[in-house]
Amino acid sequence: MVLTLERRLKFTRLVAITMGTPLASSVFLSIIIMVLLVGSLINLVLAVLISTVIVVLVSFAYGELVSIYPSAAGNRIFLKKPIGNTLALSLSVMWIIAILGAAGTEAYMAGNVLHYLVGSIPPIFWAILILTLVVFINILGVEISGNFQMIITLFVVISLILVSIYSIFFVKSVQPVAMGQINWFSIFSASAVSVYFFLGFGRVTTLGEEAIDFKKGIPRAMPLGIVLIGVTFILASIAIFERVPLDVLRTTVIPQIVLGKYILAGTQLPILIGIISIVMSFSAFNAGILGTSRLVYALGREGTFPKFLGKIQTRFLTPYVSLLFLYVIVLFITVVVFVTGNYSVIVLVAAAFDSFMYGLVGYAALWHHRKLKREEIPFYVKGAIPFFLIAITVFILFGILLLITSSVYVAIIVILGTVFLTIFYWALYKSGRLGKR
Amino acid sequence: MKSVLYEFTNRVNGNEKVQKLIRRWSTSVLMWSQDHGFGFVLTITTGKVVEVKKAVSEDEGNVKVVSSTATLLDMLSGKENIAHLYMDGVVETYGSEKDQIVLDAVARLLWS
Repeated sequence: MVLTLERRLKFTRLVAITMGTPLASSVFLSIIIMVLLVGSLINLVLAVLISTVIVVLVSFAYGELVSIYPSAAGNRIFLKKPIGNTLALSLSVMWIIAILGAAGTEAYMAGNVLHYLVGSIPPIFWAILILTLVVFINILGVEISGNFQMIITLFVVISLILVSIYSIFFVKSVQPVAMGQINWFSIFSASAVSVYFFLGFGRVTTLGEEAIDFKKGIPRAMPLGIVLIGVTFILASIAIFERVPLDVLRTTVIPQIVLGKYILAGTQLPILIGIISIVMSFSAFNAGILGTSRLVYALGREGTFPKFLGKIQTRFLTPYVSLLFLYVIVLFITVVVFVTGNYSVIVLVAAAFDSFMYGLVGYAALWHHRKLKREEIPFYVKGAIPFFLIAITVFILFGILLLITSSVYVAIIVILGTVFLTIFYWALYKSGRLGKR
Repeated sequence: MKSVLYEFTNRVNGNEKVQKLIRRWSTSVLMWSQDHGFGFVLTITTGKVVEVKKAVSEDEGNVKVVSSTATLLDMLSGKENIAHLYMDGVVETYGSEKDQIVLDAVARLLWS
C-alpha cells in the first residue's frame, strides 16, 4: 500500500517536472502571436491540438532514447551517433541559446507583471531584480524540493484551467464569437508557433535524481505531462481569443492579466492571475537556469566551453561561474527585448529551433529503433516507426514554415547560428583542441 | 576494484585541496559495475571517506555511478575525465545535481 502510494507520488512528480519548464509566463506572449495569426477560433483550437499530438509523438522518441541513455546529457547523446558528434554538439549549444532567449522573454514578461502588481519601479528593473534573485538563490545552492515543485506546478495548472473554463463557459460575451472558417495555412503557421508551449519539456530526461525511473517512469510521464500542458494552453488560448479584443492584444504584453480584467472587472482576479504568472516565471527560471547551468558546467569541464565555466563555489558547492555566465547572457537578452520592445523574434527563434530539434530527435529515435536489437531498448514503443516519421516530417515543416513566414532575423539567427557553431566546433575538433571524440 | 577504491580513498583523505572543498559534504556514493553486477559503497562524513564496503544491492547510496568495471577503474584512477564520460553517456550518474557536481570536482582536483 505504502509502496503503491510512493510509486504514484514519484510518477506524479515526473509528470510535474515534464510540465515545469514549459509552464512559463512567456507562453502568453506566444499566445498573442498565435491569436493574431489564426483569424478564427476553429483555426486556433486545431493549431494547438495538432502541435500537442505531434509533441506527444516526439515524446515517444524521447522515451525510447532516454531508456537507452539514462541520466545522459540529453539531446547531444541522443543525436551523436545518428548525425555525428560535431553537428550534435553545435545543435546542443544552439538549444542552450534558444533556452536562454526564452529566459530573456520570461524576464521581460515577469518584469511587466510585477510592474502591474506593484507599480512604481519600471518593468526592466523588476526583470533584473527577479533574475538576480533566482541566480543568487542558485549560487547559494538552495534546492527546491521535488514535492514542493510538484505542488507549485499543479497549483498553476489547476488555476489556469479553472480561470479559462470560467472565462469560456460562464462569462457573457460582449460580441458573439463564431467558430469561423478553416484555413490550413493559418493553422499550421500557428501550430508551429505553439511548439513554444512545450519548450524544455525534455529537461526531465537529463535529471540525474536517484528517484527517477528513466527506463519506464519518464517515458510514460512525458506524454501525460504534454497532454496536460496542451489542454491548459488550449483553454487559455481560447479564453484570451474570445475575451480580449484584438486591438488590445496587439498593444499589451500581459494578456493573461488583461483577460482577468475582461472576465471579472472590478475584482481581484487580475491580481490573482498576476501572482500565478510570477509563480510560473520563478519556477520556469529556476528549472531553466539551474538545468542549463549544469550542462554549461559539464561542457566547461570537458573543454567544449571555456574551462573557467567548470569552476565551483567552494562554500556552497555550486557551479557559480556557469550560473553567472548564464545570468549575463539572459540579462543582455532581457535588456535587448526591453529596449526594442520586440519579443516575437526570440519566441519564434525558440519555436523554430525547437521544431528542428524535435524533428532530429524523431530521426535519432528512428535510427536507434532500426540499429539496435529490441532488448537493447528498455522502453520499446511497438509500431513506433510511423509515429517517428510523422514527427520528423511535421516538425521539419514547422521549422521551415517559421523561417519563411517570420521576420528575417529569425532565419538569420537559426541558420547562421547553427552553421557558425558547426564550423567552429568542426575546426576545433580538426585542430585537436577538443580531443578525438 | 576494491584496491583501486582504497587508493582513491587515500588520495581523497590526503589531498588538502579536496578536503578544503568537501569539508561540509557528507553522503554515500555507490560505484556499481554493470557488467559484473556488483558494487562498493563509499561513506563520506564531513569530507572524509570513512568506510568502503561491498554493496548489497544496486539501490544503495545517495549518489550512484554506474558503468562497466573497466570504465569505473579508469575513472577512479584518473585515466578518464568524468565530465567526458557523462557527456558521452558512458557512465550513468544518479543523485542530486549538487552531489554529482561535487563528485566531479573532487576527481578534477585529484588529477589536475
